[in-house]
Amino acid sequence: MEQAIAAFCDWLSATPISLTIQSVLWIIPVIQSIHIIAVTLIVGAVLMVDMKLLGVVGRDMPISGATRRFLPWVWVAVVVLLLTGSVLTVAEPRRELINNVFRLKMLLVLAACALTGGFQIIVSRNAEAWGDQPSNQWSARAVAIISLALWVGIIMCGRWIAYVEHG
Amino acid sequence: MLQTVAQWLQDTALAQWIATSAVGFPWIETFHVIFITTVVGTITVVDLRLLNLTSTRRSVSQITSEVLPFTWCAFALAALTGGLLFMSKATEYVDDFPFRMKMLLLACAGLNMVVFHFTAARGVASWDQGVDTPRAAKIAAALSLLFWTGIIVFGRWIGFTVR
Repeated sequence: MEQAIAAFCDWLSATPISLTIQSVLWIIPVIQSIHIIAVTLIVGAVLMVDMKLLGVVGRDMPISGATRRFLPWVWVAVVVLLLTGSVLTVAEPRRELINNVFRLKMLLVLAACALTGGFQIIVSRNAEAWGDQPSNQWSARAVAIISLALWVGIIMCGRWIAYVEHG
Repeated sequence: MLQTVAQWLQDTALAQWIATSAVGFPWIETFHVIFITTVVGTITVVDLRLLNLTSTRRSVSQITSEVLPFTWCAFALAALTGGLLFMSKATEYVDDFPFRMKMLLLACAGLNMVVFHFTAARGVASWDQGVDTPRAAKIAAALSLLFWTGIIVFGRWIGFTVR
């Protein structure tokens, strides 16, 4: 499996598109900047929803109001992140695909998306149960803490991809 | 003068540790990224409201009072971690073009906020909710988004010029 991934990386990094991204100096910094700006959107939106779930902000507003207002931004940002992340991966496949921190980051991304999407669906199906004073307050708090931990972990992994040895 | 101060900072034991330790710089930088994304993410929530684009059913003052405490906390921590990163290679950063641009834009963002605070924001009661935000508020919000975007771009760029 590892060998197949390595062979794929070597093929990918020799393709014209990869060679172009590698040789044009400004592409990687610009794509990384867009990537970070998309991360700021997620952090802002997720922080607002999670602080609402923890009861820190928006006490006069139902949870379903906060998820409707902020979570669409997370999905827009996730799409931008996948696109810009793909460009960076095409440019330097081994740096990402043969890197345990990158693999951990992708697992955390899957978990965060599953949690966010699942929670969004549950809240939209039963908005009344997720009003100002939800009866399931403790599950709301658990969702908030897990969500914050996942996104912080994703940012940490993102920065550390650059610092660990890759294949 | 700038170089003398930078050299002195860089020679402190703390700066030396950050520069030479295998984990010091990467970990401080990791937290710097977490704090700066929090600053920009939360400011975006406020700016989009000032542009009358989002959260229009909630009042401006409600949003600022809920969001800005997070922004200020994250900003203090971003400045602290940024200061530590700066110390470790101060003599290189002071002469680095993207670093200087980042500091300039940071000053612009601060000035923009002060001007807004003492002008349009004074009359917030008259446009807090249910009406369009005034042009001055929209300009301040658009400038804020522009400056903070630039801060991120130049911040990322520093990583390619100072190694």
